[in-house]
Amino acid sequence: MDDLKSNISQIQTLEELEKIRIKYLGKNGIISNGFLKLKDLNGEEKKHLAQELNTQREYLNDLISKKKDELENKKIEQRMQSEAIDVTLFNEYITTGALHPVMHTMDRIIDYFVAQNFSVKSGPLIEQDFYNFEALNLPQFHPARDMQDTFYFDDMELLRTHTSPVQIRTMLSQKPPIRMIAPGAVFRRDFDLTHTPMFHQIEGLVVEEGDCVSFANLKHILQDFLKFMFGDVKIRFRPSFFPFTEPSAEVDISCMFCGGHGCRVCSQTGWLEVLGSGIVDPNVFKAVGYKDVSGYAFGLGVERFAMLIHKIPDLRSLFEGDIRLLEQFK
Amino acid sequence: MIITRSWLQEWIDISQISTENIIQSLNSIGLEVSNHYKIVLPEKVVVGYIKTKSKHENSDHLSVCEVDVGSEILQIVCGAQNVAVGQYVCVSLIGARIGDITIKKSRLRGVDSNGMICSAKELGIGDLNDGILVLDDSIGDIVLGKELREYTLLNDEIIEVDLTPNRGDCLSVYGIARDLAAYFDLLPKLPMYEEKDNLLGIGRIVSIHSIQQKSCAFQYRAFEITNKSTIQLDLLRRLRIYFAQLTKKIKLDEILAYCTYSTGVLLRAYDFKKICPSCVKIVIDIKEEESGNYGVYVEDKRLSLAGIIQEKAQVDDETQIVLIEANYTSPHLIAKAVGSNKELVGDTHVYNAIRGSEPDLNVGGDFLFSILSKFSGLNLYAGFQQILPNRDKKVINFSINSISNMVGRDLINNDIVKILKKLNFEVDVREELISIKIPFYRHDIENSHDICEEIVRMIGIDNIPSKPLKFRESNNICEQYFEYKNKKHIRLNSVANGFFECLHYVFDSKDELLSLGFKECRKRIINPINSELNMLRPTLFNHILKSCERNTKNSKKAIKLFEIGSVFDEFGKEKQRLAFLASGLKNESSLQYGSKPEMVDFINFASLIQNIIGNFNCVPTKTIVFLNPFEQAFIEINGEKVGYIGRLDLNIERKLKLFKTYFCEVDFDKLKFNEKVAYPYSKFQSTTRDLSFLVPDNLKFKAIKDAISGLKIDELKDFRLVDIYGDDSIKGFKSYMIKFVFQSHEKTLEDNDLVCFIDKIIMVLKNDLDIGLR
Repeated sequence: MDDLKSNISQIQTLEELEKIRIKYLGKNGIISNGFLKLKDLNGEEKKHLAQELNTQREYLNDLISKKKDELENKKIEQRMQSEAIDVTLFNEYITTGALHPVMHTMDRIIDYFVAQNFSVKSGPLIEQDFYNFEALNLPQFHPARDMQDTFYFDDMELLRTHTSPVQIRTMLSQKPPIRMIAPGAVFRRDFDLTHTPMFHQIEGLVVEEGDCVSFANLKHILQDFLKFMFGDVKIRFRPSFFPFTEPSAEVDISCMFCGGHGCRVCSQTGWLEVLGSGIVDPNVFKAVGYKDVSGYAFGLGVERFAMLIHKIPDLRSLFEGDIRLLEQFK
Repeated sequence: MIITRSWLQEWIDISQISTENIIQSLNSIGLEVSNHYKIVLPEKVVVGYIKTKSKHENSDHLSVCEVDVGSEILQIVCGAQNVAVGQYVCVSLIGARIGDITIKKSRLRGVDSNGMICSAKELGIGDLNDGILVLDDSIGDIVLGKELREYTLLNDEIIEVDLTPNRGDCLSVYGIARDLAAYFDLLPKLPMYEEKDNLLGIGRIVSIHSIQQKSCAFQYRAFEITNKSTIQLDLLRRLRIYFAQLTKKIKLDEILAYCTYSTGVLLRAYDFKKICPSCVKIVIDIKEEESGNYGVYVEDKRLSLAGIIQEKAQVDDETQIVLIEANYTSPHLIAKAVGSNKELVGDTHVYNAIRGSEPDLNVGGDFLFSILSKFSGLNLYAGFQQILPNRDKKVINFSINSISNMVGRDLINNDIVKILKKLNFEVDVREELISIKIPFYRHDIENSHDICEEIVRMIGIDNIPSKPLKFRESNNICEQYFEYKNKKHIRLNSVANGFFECLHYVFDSKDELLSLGFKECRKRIINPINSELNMLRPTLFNHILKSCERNTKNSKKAIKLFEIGSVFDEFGKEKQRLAFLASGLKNESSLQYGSKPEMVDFINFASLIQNIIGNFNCVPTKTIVFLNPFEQAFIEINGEKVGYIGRLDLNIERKLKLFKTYFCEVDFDKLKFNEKVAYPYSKFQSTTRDLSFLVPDNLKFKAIKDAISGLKIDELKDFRLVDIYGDDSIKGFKSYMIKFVFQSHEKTLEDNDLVCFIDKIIMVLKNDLDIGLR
């Protein structure tokens, strides 16, 4: 028996093991044949042999099945080894495309304001003078119209120069309270290194009845918004002028390129202008027939935000569908 | 507005205030400083005096000068034409660094030179004049040998202010000083001019006649030039003229420009003899024009339009008697004139007038005459002739409470009154109500919001708290928000399918669009930016095609682009479109896609689009002229045409040197974004069978599809073409392998059920289309 044990332990393949199994435990195997002898025996002798045979059979069974497990495990082990792959072969491109950085920035801005319960409004690109200028306290011949060089059509309609006409359209179609933003393309007749004839703005407007909307409210939302967009930057409000707001302020953030020490991007000032805002001018409310209301408004250039956040150096490249730029935003 | 520290100092005492503080204050009161820098002259450049000058013996253009620099007399060779004995000049001593050069002892054509006489440009001040910079005592006491960097007036600080169009009152050094004075609680310094006793009165040569009106002020003064060579501004003022870019051809014009820039008062000079060669005295007649503007007439001859243009009698270098006109015209009159004549827009006189020039004409006249009185070759006339408009100051009433609410902070009566008084408003307080009178120079103040703005900028936005606004409205989700969300859904799908989002201008080239078969837009842009961008685009195709071309030139092998944007129909009606373009390889080569990935093809492209916009059918067409007529289709969803898809016309591919390129354009508004509805599905096993049919080449697959669908076998859950095979043995035919999926709601289908269905299918194809199994 001990010989057999060492014999089995030296077996290398499942086939050899099977041969041994058949030799001892098969139909005509040694053990099976042993059982045949029982019919010639009686009494104690028979009982004794039967016991011995059973013990041997169990012992053998156990030995072989253990060896079988061992050999099978070994075989799988070998297969895994032979099928091993070099995981460092993984070296694929991302095969998705990417959102345009300007549109992605617009998405983020919209996300913020929607979370503040602003509604998202839109309006036509071809506008009438009334919505784009007149109702926004920019009467004809007003010098502030110089600020925005306009594309005109032969019927004297125009391409909107800002998203502000959507304010007017919204106020004419509903009553306060209003809390809206208007994202979209705008157009100015300007084409050089830092200007494209089309770009994108987001306009915001809040109007409530009575005099409850204050400059302090405007300050609060813009500070919160700019932290959301730019992270931990310093924020500065500067009095300024827009025809449709009074008082007006421009909002600067500390330059993220130089940390506010002054560099080429911020013209050595340490500040980057990012927003225009103010309390809605009473003439605008007059133009839409609102009485006894108060409100604030703000506007921003989406390209400027995108260029600052993603450090994109060239404005015009944004309109050329250049994959060398776009694939960086995968 | 470019100003300098010394210039500002002339109008307000800022000697105790740092430049940094001034810049910060200007920003905080709404006068944005866009740039500032300090001029710092190099070391070892000192004041020198030219004692002698002789011609260099070996050169025509060089001079040899003996220059006294206090401690010694240096021999210096100088090449400037304007060098002359008796000049005080800037001498770079040995060792001085001028730009990148260090000055050394040298020999120029055989003559020793111990330093350099410098020009303003070499010193880093700017291109002030040809030749060397000649000093005078306008920059301080001239001390031989004194370092020039110790003259603060020469080492001035330049501040550039970006003015908003409402602040015409700050279009002058005086105006900015006046606003700063209010902020710092100082008083602006006004020009002092005291007439000498023995001058001839102006009444001898000019009198003035005018109607009563409310819009204009005119003031006339005069002087006679006896020696024009004495009319020379000192160095300090010439420096300022250079910095502020006021340089003019005619010296007198330059002096006037300097005075206007300093005071904000619009000044004009007339040549008296040109107005009326024979007159000893003229009568100026101010008349209202039909346009509402005011004309300046002498003997029915119009000399100028107030605030707009001078038409006659301009001064030149020969002018002897000069008539000076100071004018203020109400800005809205100018605005009208400019509105009807765009050519006027660039004129600086008009620019100031339209934004509101300084109405206190005396400031301008006195300032000019205080300068002129220093020139010896002039005879000034005493006094002036003027007419003033008949008008009252604007009055605005408001309550403290309304201002506090607008600002969002409690304000105290006294603070507001104090601020307004500093800004020269006349204030009358009656308990809670304040009534103020606006100074004439503040055209921009019209209502209580404007007053609020004044308060805000003077107390500083930094001192206003930040407070959230409480919600009062219900939720604000609206139709347009859903449109945005749907677009975003499409954009993200597109990105997931490998497309890059791009943006293009809504204008495009008319010529190119017409050549692609589009109609001209009747909504014509009258002032396009250039001839490439002169028509509203009717399609997203052309720009995206050009982007594809650019990317191909940049060696991109797999190009996939998409855009959502506005297009305009023939009548200018705006629509939203969605366009896709795929060109070249399906993917960049990599281990996954092999070294030679396949080219994009119709089925692959269409299936990407389907991933993005949902299930659609392709309906054959040949109507899209820029697409290959044999590989194009309308996209149909639920029986509605929503767009088209196909390969580019091969002529376009070849002309632009593009790879195989596919394009698709969809009307965004026709896409549906309904929420999905689940349908009951069977719990029994499904069974699939693949069958191959021999199909003639000219038969469209749609016919097979329709025939099988027409059987309406409920248990046929799906069938799809999975392989196409053809070889010489079946010429004129192709073998289509179709996978059929069967499943019942009631039971697991058995073989005889399947045989029954398949027989039906084979029968219908045989009977209707005469095609059989392969």
